[in-house]
Amino acid sequence: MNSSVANEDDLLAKACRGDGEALGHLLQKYRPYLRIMAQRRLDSRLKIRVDPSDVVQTTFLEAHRDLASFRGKAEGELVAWLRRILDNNLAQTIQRHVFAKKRSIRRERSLDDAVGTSHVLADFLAADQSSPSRRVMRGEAAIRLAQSMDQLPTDQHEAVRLRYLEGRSLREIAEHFDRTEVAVAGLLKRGLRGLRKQLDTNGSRDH
Amino acid sequence: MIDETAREERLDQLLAEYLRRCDAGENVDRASFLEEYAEFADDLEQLLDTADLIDRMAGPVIGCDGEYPTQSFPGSGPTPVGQTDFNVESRGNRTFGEYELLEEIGRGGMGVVFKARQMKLDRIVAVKMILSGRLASEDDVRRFYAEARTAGNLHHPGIVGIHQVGEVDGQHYYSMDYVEGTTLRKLLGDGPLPPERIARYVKAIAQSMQYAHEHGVLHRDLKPSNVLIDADDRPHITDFGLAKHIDADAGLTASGSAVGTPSYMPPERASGKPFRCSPAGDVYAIGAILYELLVGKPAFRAETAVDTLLQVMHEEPKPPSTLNPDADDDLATICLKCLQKRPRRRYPSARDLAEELDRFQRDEPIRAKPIGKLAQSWYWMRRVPLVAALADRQLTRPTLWHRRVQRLLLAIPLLIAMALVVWKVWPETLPSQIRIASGMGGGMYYRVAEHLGTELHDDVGRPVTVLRTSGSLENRRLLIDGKAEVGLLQSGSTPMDELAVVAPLYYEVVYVVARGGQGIDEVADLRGKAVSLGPNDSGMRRSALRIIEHYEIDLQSLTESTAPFTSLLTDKTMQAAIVTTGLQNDDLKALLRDERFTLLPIHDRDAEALSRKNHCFKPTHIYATDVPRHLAVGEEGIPSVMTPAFLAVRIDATGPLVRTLLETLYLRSDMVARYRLMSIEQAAEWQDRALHPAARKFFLTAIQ
Repeated sequence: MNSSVANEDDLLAKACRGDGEALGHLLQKYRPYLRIMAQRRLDSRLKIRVDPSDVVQTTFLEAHRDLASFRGKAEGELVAWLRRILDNNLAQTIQRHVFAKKRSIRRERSLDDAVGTSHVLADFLAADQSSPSRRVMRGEAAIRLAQSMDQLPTDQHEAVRLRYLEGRSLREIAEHFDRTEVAVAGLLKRGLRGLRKQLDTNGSRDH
Repeated sequence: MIDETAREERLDQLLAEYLRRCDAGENVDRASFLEEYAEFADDLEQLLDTADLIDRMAGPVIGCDGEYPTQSFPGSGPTPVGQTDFNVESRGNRTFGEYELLEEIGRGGMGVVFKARQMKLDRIVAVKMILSGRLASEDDVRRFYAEARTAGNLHHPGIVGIHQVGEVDGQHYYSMDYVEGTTLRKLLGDGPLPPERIARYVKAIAQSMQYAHEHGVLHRDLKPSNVLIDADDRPHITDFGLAKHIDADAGLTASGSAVGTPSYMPPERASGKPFRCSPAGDVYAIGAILYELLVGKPAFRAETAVDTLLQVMHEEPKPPSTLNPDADDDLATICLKCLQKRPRRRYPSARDLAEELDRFQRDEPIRAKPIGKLAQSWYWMRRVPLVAALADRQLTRPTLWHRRVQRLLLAIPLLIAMALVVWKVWPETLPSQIRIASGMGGGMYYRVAEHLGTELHDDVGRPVTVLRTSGSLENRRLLIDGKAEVGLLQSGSTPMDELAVVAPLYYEVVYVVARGGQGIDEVADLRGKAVSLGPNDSGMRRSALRIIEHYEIDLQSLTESTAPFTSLLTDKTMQAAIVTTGLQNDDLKALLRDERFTLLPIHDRDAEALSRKNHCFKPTHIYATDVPRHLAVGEEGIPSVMTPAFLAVRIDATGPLVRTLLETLYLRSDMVARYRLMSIEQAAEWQDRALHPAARKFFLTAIQ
């Protein structure tokens, strides 16, 4: 534990001093987490076909570019800073797609052009989709969870994410996958088992 | 032993069953579920444990927006709310610093609120706390303290007072008045309130907010659930979670993130434009509360927050009386003034609003005026996108009817444009087919027309027909009647009204041909002879008649024939012919090659006289090079007159047709050389009023 944490603290300190290479190492750790957060905003009923990985990648590029403007010292601050950049990118992406779509459907230029300038609206659009029981995903534990989940096969990752992070019902997930509810339960089962194994391994390595 | 695959399938089914029951809102007792399926208990338990682990790692559930709190003491705002580690219900009462936490009474905003006993003072207070420090971002903590600080400076009976701010074991909290009672939100569920009570509540709220504004604090999230009603039926404003010092810098909410609750958010904030927070925003929110008290539901609420925001920005609230006929008219007027989209049309301050409500309570006339029908119509029209654009309103949210009116408005210029198109642009195309009225088969007109037709067909790719006619006059009729698009005409003989000239093609010369040995040496000698003047309706005949007229020969005296001049070759009774044609006319050449025939001169004097009488005739000479040797034409040639043959169209023919004809004639074919037509330069010199405008333009460009 000590060596890896010490190593991370070291990286953080370097990154905070503007060391891009150190930042790069840290970013790899946050990638799964940020991707899950991006997914959260992108997989709304709006059905935006954007790869969350692309948005995360853009975010990393901007983070490297703007590292000098980061004033924090703690890891929490760094993550918060990254999420702000990510949220900004997501808002732009959503605006582009939603309003492009609306425009093509409704051809209401005056409305959409105006709406396109409204961050408040974009924020609500993104927040609008929350299920009653989604999880905040904050803190170090959430980042570790995301890292472990990242090792799962894609469909298991997706099933676990939708069920346990987004609080979707079994039926919703079944519709999403276009599979039976029992098949989705099977996915969740395998996902939970795989995740258990990951968490146990990581845990023992950390402690 | 159960087959492994079958066992796994069964496990899937059981997990699905468990999840379904959770989804259905059932409070599934895990222990009894596991007991029921003891055979799979270990597997299931491991799965459910892992799920629990995820729940712990992923952090607490994000709260609802606090709009409909389950407890009487609500929090608010879309900020994620964490669950504290204190689960009072399950663990019973516990101490928290100097407080004994009694029960959770609200959740939302940034924290959770407990009813608590402050042990030292033995009084009941409310304790609001933020989540355990690990989960809260520094922003959250800063915001939490900012809220406590802002509200802590306010001491007013209508505002929930803050007592203490602090931290216990890393847990940030503040304590405040505990208000025993209910909220305005809950009261709304009990049905309509009498106007006096509504006015009393809203006036008290306005007075409290005036106090806050005077102390430099804006609430920014006023709504029914943030108004507590105590046991004495007095309102207390709480949850300054989004409050802001009027003159503080943008600070904590500068990120532009959506703050507030859509139904009560003033439009200037909903639009997300750079705005200055002002007391007018709180006045708006008080108006929104008043509206809801009058009709039982918010002025704006749609299925999604986004749609609600769009309504807030673009729609006028329905007059309260349309939703609740019993709604008091004056209160409705006051309410709609608060809900004006433009801040400066609202009450200038919370105090002005309070005073207005005071007038209402004392039965004095209120100052606000109901919105008139005209204004209502204008508000409606303003949402027609076009009108909005003209009125420089950036945002509109048109309904179906707005769009229809918009379409109507847009249709007017469109119809005008279409009329213009039909009138001006539409004819600017080639006709779908081109019919060329020519002349007698084998004649010059026919040959030129046929050649032109072939070239045109290649150039324009649409049907081209060459019509055989008796000549110029018939061609003219065909053009006027729309039965031909293009025609060849002899100008000397054809009235040009209703027609326009595309181009002069060539000069036709008047040949007066006489059979030798009949004593016919001059044109005047034709008197009483058998003469071919050409077919009826032909230009040739018209020209012939002019000549005869000039020589004062009585038409009646002639044995006139309408047979073509070629009949001279076969019909020996025919003594002469007056032929007007081009030199390239093969029939004429054949006739002149026959040594039995001779050419009579139209002497200069007569030629000049003819051209004076009819400007289409010009004096000319027929030279030896153009006629067979046996005619013994001297060096001066034989004098005669000539008249141009035109390519003509109807006066309303389109530019493209005229241009195409000219381009084919001069630029895309060898017709000029082959038929010895006037060159483009010569044609350009030929100016005549009858020239089609497009042709005039063409020639002007051509010679530059």
